[in-house]
Amino acid sequence: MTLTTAGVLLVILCSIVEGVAQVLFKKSAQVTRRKALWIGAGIVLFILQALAYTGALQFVEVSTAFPIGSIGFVIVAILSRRMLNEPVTATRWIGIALIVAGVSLLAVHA
Amino acid sequence: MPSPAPPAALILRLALAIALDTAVQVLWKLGAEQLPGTASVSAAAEAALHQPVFLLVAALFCWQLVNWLHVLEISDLSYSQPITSLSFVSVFAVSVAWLGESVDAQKVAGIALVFAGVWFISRSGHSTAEDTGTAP
Repeated sequence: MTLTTAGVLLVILCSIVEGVAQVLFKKSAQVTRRKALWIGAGIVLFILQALAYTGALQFVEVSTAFPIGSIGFVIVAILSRRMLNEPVTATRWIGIALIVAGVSLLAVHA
Repeated sequence: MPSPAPPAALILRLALAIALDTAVQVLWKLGAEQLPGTASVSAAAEAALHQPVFLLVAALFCWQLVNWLHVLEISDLSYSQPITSLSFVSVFAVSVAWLGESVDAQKVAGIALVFAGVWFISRSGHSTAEDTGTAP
């Protein structure tokens, strides 16, 4: 495995971790007790992914990492459906696909 | 049946989330440019602590988190999170206006796609609890 491949995989992992952190934040809004626990866990994951993302940028260019990171929108949609039972409708999927394409075009020269 | 319009509070909080995200990203970039060149991460972190702009960024981060938790109280994560992609557009606009970044056809197409995507998202219901009448 090349360092670039490792960097790309790390960026994807960061997107997944950030998606899980978002789910934890949403969980905090759904519970009546131990809200701080869910929020704290989300913050810890956010910090970890920020550190890992900084590390990933040692191996891949920002212009590569940014479009790959936009799959975070897809990951959040998948996690929202599976872990929060949110209805991710066809309309939402079309919107997410357009956003990922748009962010990729915007960021490709970042 | 068309989805109900999102409440004004949600629209305002999403707009604030986008504005805060934009401010954080632009200030972060400006702050990073002021840091002295150093090979050590710890030295860079220590230098950042002495930059007022990074303290402002930290405060904005906290405000952003509090605001985002309020957003999630009244909306689906899969609704609100994609809408915050508008911060890519606002950061780009600020970069063009104040930092002299160039505009080309590809970036304009990217902005158009993000707007189109957000429009589709906004056509879906903003909250499952709101749609079904079930408690969160």
